[in-house]
Amino acid sequence: MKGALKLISILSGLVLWHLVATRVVNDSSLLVSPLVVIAKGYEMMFVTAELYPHLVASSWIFLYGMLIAALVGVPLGFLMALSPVTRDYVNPWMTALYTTPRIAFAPVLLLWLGIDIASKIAIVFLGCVFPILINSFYGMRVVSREFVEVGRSFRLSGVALFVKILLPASVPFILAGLRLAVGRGLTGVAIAEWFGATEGLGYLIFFAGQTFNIPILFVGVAVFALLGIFGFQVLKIIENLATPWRKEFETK
Amino acid sequence: MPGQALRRGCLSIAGGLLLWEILTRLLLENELLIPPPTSVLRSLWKLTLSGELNRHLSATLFEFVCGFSTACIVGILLGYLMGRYRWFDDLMDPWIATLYSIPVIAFVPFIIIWFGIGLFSKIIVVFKITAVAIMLNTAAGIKTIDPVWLELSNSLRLSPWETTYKIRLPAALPYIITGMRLGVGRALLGVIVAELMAANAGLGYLLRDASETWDSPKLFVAVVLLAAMGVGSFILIRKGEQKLAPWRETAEW
Amino acid sequence: MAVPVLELRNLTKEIPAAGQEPFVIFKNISLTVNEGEFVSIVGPSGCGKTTMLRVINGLLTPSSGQIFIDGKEQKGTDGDLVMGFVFQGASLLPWRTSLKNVLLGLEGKKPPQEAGQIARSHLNLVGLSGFENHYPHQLSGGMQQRVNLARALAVDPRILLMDEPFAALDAQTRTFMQLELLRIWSQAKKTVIFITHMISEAILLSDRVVVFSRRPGRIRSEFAVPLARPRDIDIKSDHRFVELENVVWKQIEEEVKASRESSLI
Repeated sequence: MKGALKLISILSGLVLWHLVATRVVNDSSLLVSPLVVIAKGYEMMFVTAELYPHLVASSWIFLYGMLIAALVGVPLGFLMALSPVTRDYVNPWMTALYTTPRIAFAPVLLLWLGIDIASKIAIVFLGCVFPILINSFYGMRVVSREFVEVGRSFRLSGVALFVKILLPASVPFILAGLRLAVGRGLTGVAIAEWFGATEGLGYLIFFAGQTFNIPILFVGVAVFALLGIFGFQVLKIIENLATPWRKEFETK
Repeated sequence: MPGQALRRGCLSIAGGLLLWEILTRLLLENELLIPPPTSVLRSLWKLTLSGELNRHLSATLFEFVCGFSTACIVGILLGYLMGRYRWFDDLMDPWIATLYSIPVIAFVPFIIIWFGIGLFSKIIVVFKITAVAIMLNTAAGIKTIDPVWLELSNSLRLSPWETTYKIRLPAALPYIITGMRLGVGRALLGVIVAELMAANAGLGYLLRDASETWDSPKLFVAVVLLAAMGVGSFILIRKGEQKLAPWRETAEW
Repeated sequence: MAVPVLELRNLTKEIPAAGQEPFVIFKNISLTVNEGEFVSIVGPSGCGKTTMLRVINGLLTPSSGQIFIDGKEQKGTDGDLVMGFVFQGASLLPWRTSLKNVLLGLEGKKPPQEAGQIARSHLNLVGLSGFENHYPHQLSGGMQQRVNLARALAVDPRILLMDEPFAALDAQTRTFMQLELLRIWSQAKKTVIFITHMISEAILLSDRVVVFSRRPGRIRSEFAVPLARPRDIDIKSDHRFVELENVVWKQIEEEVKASRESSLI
């Protein structure tokens, strides 16, 4: 019943879109039917295969950015949670960096790092690092005081306390941070490739936008959306695998 | 102790700026790569005097405020309906989910093609971004309401209208505010992207103008102003959160 | 001849307040617990009994006074593991199975094989054989407290500190767990300090009941429980049990009334 309603909603939406495109607008530089978009997508994937270089270029930027963000964000988040002094000194800079629209940094990074892959990775990194950092921070800090007391009552050493109590307790938070970072990372990819790129999904979209090539524009946006959903789901699966105890614990 | 945190924070900012100034003065011969803070200040002063700053700032703010307030009204309304009525939720869900998972900036080209490069298209961008976040969060808040509270309202014989504004909405308020907070950041990004792509005023325009003319002090002025806007709206939301939902602990970021 | 295991000398805990009198939680507690003795501490809510248990364990530092175990002074959490602590709440680590939870205090101190054996035998002692690989969320509240107990016992502590371990359980499970604790205690033969606010629980389990005053907590009185072991549920209707329960209740009632009056002024 529930699924049926969703399906009907999607189908009727698509039909409506088709009708608006072909009967009302009827201008291929403004809107095209979903059928045209699907045909274009098929062509780009299986006939000309022109989608793949863009996909590959974007994926590398995304993965590098995420990886570096995780490598920096997790330890820094931990450090800030464990040392109030560090937190107080880092906090103002972090708040400023975090709340500033990332795109403002894009021209600056471009100026510093040039237009090759380094500046693009930096932009993705900037998008991903904060959700990861913030979640690691919270994970480490909200580890129930009781758990820490358990560790101390068993006279665990500092290292053991970190490895056996603090770290495992913050794993779900870190994973949730990574999941949040996926969306922001993809936005970062789009921003990065807009500034002086010659390939990539972001480039594809902006090039299509400027040349009013609506079908390619739609395909590009759809690929972005799919990547977002895909990345989100993959991390959710990892989350379930990595923390089998989490599921019901959460509902308590 | 909050006083100490504040003092350390100020110290950190002041120290960082000072270091930045000294390093750039000593090490760099031209200001193209990283202008010292004083050059940025001078540039800011010049822009203020010429009235240029006022023009850009008010354009961006106007777009932002218009889009955001409309999004709040529409988002809360639709979110409430989605939370209350299952069929409405099922109907909206696939489209909202799709809209939500498309990066903000992949959306902008469409808006510009359809709505032009004026104020209106930027308001639409802000609206789209914020409304979806608020809608999803409102719906979640209405849905997860503790059934005991509804039983309570039944036992007190509250009218449906009273149940809505005495029980459901206050219960969902923390969620709604979270939606707003999520929306603000993304909306600011959206407005800047839209202005960068096509506009003749606004901070995004200033950013593009500065980077195209290699005027790095001006570029930094734009960055600093955007940072100020980001931090400012963030603080406003947090203050609002404390005022509207004082029973709830507020997030640090 | 009674051999003292734990000795508290003039233990005081206060929280300094800026520009004000310090907030005194408990004051000048001196108490000796002998080998194999089961001592309960009861008192009105907020009298500092739980805080005192944390101070004894080193989780909190005392403002003054000393703690000795087997004549050796204890400072903070640096020393050897000579105390087992049974926490009140669901303090099992949710990412570890029952067995791994029990292993927490043994890892790195015993060879893995031996540690595994000890952990299993303690799960068996608390009646949880067959639940080694269950995660805490798969266990009922009573079972979680059994694991909690096994975890504290597994490190073979000189003294077991129990902080209202059954407070979160429903009435029936609670009674059942009390009887279980009697059985486990008679097998494990440990020295125990047991904190509770339930007088009948204290009497049922203990050799000695210590009554705390209202805050700042002091030892108001002590009672030896004149009931033979082994005990079972019927003992609750023994007239000596009922009398002792009444006496203790009167004292706690007085403390609660007095603290209410002083807070009204």
